[in-house]
Amino acid sequence: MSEPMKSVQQFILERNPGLDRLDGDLDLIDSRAINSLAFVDFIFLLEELMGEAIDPEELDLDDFRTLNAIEARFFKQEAA
Amino acid sequence: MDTPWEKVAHSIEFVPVKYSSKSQPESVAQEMLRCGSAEIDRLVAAGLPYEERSGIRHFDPNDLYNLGMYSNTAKTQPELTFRMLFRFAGRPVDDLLRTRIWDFQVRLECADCAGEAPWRLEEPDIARFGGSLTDVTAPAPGSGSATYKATVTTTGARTPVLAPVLRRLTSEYLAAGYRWQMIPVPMQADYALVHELGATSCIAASLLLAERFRDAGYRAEAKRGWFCGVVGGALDLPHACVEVEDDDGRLKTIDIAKAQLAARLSAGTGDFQELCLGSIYNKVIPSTASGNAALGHHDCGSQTPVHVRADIRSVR
Repeated sequence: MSEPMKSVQQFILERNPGLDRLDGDLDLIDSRAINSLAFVDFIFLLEELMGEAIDPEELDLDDFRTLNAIEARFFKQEAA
Repeated sequence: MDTPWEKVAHSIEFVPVKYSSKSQPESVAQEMLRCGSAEIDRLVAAGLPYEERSGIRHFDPNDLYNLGMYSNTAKTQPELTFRMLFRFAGRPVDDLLRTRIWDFQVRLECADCAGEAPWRLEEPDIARFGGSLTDVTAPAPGSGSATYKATVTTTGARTPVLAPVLRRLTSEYLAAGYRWQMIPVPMQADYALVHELGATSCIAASLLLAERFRDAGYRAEAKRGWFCGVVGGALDLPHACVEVEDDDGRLKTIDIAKAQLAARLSAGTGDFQELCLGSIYNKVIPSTASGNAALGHHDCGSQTPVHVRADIRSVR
């Protein structure tokens, strides 16, 4: 797992004490692992990890649905 | 640095009991405000209204939003949210004048549903401003919940308000120093109360300004709509603006609250603020609803208002 994705995982686990591990295909939205309160924080974290701004208009909730989707959408180059 | 929460609490108007719904537990308050229980104690001592249920303090989400927004810490969730939402206002305004296509979905939920009945949504009403509505899938009669889908095309146009009277009334309102706050929609309809408190919001501002325009002899109405691109539909913001017939006979929109918020939240937004005063821009979808009307209805007879949540995504 890439360093940015480790930070992503850590962010989610810190906010969900009930989770001890995260599968790459767990639905983070439906499971409420990322709720609407944490959503903006999460976008700022992604920006920090990517080193560039994210246009909120271009976001799709499906981009955040799973760890795999997050890696593909935001860290594709690192993952390749 | 220690946040002067007492000062923050005294700087905002808490939602009056009549309109307050203390639905959020203290854990949410701490998360929103990035603080601990000792700071919540200080806020309560400074007047933050609460209700204790099962030994847990509960707060009105609007109060929490306003405390966060005016905390000046740069780390509360409301501050981060609005900073992100208003980034667009500092960009070249030409981007707000081009044609855009939105995948528009609205979820209607009737919490205390009394059975199968027709659904009614105050639909996007965009053709008047050069846009279009296509691929509409309106919900069939049903119970519980339903979804409305459509493709909405928006576009912008520079049509600044011309009438000196309308410009003067708008300037006077902006100069009056009302403070933007998150306010429950039913309270926003009580726009006299909102302004007596020294506060403002998009619906309350639009209702008051429309009234002043009409008093000056113009045809004007506050209209509700949707603000597009609010973080993938994860956030929902009420929106309203004033529609007024200008001296040139054209319908103009005055997005008074967005002009105020942009001025407060983002530097270099002068062009956008000017755009709010009469022009059309592509991030707003007007609806058929008047300023304080509900956006969705279910004809089942339930007295509980239908919950309406929009998910408006830019078509890539």
